[in-house]
Amino acid sequence: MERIDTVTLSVINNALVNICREMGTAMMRTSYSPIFNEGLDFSCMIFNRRGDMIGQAEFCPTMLGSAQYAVNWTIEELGLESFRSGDVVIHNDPYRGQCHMPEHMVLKPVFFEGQLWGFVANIAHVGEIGGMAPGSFAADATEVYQEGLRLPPVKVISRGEYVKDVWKIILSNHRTPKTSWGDLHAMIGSLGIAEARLLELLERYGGERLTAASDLLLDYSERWMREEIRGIPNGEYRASDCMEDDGVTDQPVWLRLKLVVRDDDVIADWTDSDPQAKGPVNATFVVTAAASYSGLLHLTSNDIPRNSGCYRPIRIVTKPGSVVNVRHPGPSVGGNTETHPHLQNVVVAALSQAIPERAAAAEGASGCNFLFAGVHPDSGEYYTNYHIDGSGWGATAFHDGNSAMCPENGNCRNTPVEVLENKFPWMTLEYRLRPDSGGPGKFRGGLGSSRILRVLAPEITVSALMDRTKTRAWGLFGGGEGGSGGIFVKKKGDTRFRTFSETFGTVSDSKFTRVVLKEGDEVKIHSPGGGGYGPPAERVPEALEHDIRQGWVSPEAARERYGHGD
Amino acid sequence: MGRWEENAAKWHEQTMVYCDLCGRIIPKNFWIVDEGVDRLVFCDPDCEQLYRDYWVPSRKREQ
Amino acid sequence: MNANLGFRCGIDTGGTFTDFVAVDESTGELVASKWPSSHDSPVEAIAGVIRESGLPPASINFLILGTTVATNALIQRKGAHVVYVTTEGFEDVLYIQRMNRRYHYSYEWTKPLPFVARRDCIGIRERINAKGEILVGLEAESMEQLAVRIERSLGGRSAENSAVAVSLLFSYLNPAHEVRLKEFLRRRFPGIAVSVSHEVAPIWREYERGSTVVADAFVKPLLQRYVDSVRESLGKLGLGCPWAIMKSNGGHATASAAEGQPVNLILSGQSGGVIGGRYFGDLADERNLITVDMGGTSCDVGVIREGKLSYITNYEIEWGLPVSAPFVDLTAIGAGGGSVAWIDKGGFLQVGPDSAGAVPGPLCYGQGGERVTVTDANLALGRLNPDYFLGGKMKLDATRAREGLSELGRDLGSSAVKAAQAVIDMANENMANAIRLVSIERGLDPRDFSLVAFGGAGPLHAGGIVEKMGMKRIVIPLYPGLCSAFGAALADFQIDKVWSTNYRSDSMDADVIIRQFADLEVAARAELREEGSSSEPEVLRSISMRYAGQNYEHDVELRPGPVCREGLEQALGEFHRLHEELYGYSISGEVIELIRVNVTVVGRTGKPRIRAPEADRDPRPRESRPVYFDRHGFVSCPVYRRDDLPGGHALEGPAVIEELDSTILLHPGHTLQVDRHGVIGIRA
Repeated sequence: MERIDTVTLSVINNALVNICREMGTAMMRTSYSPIFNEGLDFSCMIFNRRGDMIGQAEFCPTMLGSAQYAVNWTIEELGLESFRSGDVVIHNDPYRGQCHMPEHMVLKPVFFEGQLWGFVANIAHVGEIGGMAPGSFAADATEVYQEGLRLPPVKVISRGEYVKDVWKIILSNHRTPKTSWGDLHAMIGSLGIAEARLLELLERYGGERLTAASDLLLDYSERWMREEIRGIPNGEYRASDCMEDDGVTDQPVWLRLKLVVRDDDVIADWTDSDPQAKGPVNATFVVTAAASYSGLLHLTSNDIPRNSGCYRPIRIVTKPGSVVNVRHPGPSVGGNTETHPHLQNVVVAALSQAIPERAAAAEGASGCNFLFAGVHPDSGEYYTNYHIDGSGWGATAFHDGNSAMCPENGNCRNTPVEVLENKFPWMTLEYRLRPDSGGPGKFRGGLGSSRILRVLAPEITVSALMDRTKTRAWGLFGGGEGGSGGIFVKKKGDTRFRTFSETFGTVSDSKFTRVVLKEGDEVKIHSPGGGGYGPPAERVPEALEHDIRQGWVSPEAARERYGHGD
Repeated sequence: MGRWEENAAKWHEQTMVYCDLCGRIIPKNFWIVDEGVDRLVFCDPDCEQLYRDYWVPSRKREQ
Repeated sequence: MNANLGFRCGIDTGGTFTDFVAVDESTGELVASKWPSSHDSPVEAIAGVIRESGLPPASINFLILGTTVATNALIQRKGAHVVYVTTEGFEDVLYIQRMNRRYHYSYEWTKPLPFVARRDCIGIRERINAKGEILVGLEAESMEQLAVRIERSLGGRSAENSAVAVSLLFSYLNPAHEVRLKEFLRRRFPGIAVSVSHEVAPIWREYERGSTVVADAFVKPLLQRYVDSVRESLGKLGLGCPWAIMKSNGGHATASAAEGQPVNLILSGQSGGVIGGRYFGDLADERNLITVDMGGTSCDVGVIREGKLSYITNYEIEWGLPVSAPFVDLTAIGAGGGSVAWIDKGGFLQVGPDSAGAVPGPLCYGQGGERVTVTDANLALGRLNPDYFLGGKMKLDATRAREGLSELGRDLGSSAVKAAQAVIDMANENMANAIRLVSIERGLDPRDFSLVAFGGAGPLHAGGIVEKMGMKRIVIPLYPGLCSAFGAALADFQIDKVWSTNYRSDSMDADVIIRQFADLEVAARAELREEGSSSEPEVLRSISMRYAGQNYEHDVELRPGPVCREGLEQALGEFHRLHEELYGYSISGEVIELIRVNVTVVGRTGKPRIRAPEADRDPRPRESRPVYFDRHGFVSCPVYRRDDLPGGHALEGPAVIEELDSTILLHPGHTLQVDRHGVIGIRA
């Protein structure tokens, strides 16, 4: 193979990342739903013709680990020979390598000098795709068929022309087709921009040279990752966590990991996990793989070029029909937002035994998924929305956990109050951090947030899918647990907030669908806090006093949990 | 010694074949290994390798 | 032009030197001087550099300062004690921020700290909704309670170290409550700086607006002191002329206007360079320019299209701490002469963003620097003259540079020379990336642009950069090291006015929009006159639009002249076209939302004619030395002094042209021509 110097390689690596960034910016600027343009719940990637991911940008990482499976599947099912210049394929099928139903991939083949060179792709959360619950986040679904419209890899654009038959099927199955039309165009439009930029790069370096360079980059990342793993002592490390319930049955579901470090590779063996749940907390295989990758990436150098090469030394073992590898037709929508960060926390907990100084305590780990739909009283138009909140991160050996953060598997932004109220008939009464929700420790866990919303329309239908409302984020090495979260309701005229089970008889406090709220009713969403690191007694007094002054820790909690003033 | 086999299902049929090591659903090309009467299905030779190096010994140890 | 006009002057306070450029408004004569900067007291250097120029104070007509006071205060977090007042229930918004993080996979990253302590974030009972209607009124009693809490927060601090920032929900739609609060605070806390969000940044998104108004308040008392001490110091010098401060938008504002809204001064010290670059581009008849200002620690890259600056409205002090204001579109990267070369864990060579600074500086300074820098690489390849650095004021140690590079080469498996070339390549690549950011990512082809290279190190790297980018032409200004000060001297008055609206194309009332444009224009013209501009201003109008349902806007420019119905219709059509051009599709028939009405008025200042250089010079090389070029190896190169080259003189590469504050490297195959103004043009 032709020798390519390291300077050229790093230039090419930067160029690939930049193309993905540009794709993301275009998507952000043109999309319709807040989860897209405020939340940035999407990923942008470039693949070679074998389906290896050779570049990505730093938007939402949750889809990155799974993207190569979705692309591999697409290539195998359709065959390389089926692609034509100007095609765009769509795909969201969790039983064909996708992570869960709302994440839609669009993929565009890129041809250079008449040959298929590779693909540009993005995966984004499409906010409403039909199914049993508005917002397509059915917390009490028992089958994938209730979770929305399932799309195997099919062309939506063929040689630059709309495949209208497919579009008609899609748009007749989504509750807000106009928003889907806008969002899907934002996704597809950005592929065009990425394709043009990749072609420029191909012009500059030539097809074979760029292929050779991207192969070298994959090897480079793999080599670096193996080097990092060599820095972790060999051994078997176990850890576990549970989902507090599955939305359908009020019972915990356990995720159990045996993680084996063997010189320069790692086996994440999840086979001891519970059988698959009735409700939608099941993870697809690719979610479990992505969470395992993400856990390792969090504990290794931040500078490794992010491509499929990083994943090669990380092997996944699961049992089909378990909560970490759901079998058809099990539901899985919550697997990607709730179970995913739990799985990743478990990987980090296992490795904290080997490399304590690099690990973090558990995070709140809930996307606090809150869905709502209705008719806007001002416009008379039907709307749905997928709303998320941030929870506290776990503390580390060197600093307190960040407060109100998107769970580690994602990297979404919140929706500003001024944007939310501009689009939907809610009035926000407060958006605050929750004092004392951070686990006590030498380093304190991050705080969760509190949001109170009042209904300003005759009716809003709400659904939720949260976790760690009964369980708590654990601390490490003597650090305490973070505060649990919750979602509560206060009917108009009531004097206090109550759980949804108490008020509406839902099976789970944290997972329910299609509850109808009336004008003046209020919802309170508490996101969970993160765990502490190290014994609270070792917290530097100045840091604790600062916490008290800032209001992050109440004087009572300082006394009870830290022994302050004793 | 294993061999590659292609999924025989027709385009309108849906089959889900899982890898005997990692548990992934395999899209189209199976890596088949005959072990006595058993027919093992893997994603690729890498999964077969890990099955022998890790899975079999670790299960034996646990029994 | 009137013969007794006198000098128009620009001052740029840099990290190492404060630069002064004066232009005689009648003859075009240039006077320049340099004085060491003082970190503790920037004003001392201002007085120093004016004295150093030898110009009699009475001959100075107008003085414009570029200052880094605001930037430094924000970067070093040395500003006022800020109290933040916001709608009750939203006191934590500055700490919650946007929930996302800088890196995908890192437990090391921590959220940026706001410029205000949480205990000083105070909520007040009041509420306006998304339609601008008052849901909860602002009661006098609430303001009284607020005053008590503010007093407690200030805890007896002096007024000159305190400030109050106010940002209430939806104030960009209805500022009534902020207006009342501002009046109340002024009365109740006379002497304490107050910043209110609808004035500083009338934009939606409570975090971004809140972050901006806090940044404004944080630096306000400091800027007021700076302005006072400059005023005093100029008075002592006997300088009675009007003076102004550069703004981030590339225009300037009188000192009193600037200190009132210091958030507009964040790029004050950097925007002058782009203006200077544009001026020399103009002289060279180039209207499409990419400016590269490369100094000791960083490099600023800007873009000029058809003679016009590009602007952005969002700037991050650090990741996650946004400031929303009009900014000249500059991309700053850590690539300068002092940028350090290092090898990452994967064995890749990296250059910057760490810099060895002026102290200890590069290896070759011999001041205790221990890491290889870009300057060392330039020296080792013969591109710099060890005996003529800063005009010979500083001796460079080439042996030390070569030793450092040999070591780096060993780690990379290459020779010292190859390593040096790789360091240069990497620095150039970083700058090329910044150029791609301001061009390709904006849909512009850099090959359609000329590179204006300045700053001490810009002319040395320009040749390598254009080869990388496929660009064809380089412009090197007079006094490349002083280009920012020069730009300040040439800057125009500029006022930007914005009004947030919420109209839809299917129900908008054209008359209301037309009236809004007129009102903004009246206000902007009045401010411009207050700032001292007397000429008839140029007025630019645009509307920020998006498809109903989208969340981000694009500015669509209106035809010049007063706004009319047809103009509005045309602008709507233009939006569809722009969307098609940028994203490859448009949604015809879709309702368009009109989000903001923007008016910019520019009071042009007269541009001096630079006097042609003397013609009676001896343009022969002073010496020759071997210089390394990629693909050529070491080549014997003639070395010229720029002062020796008369107007009209042409050279073929390879050659080195040295001047006091910079070195120009002419690559093999490139040709150079000095024009009648003394500006150098290079063809690649």
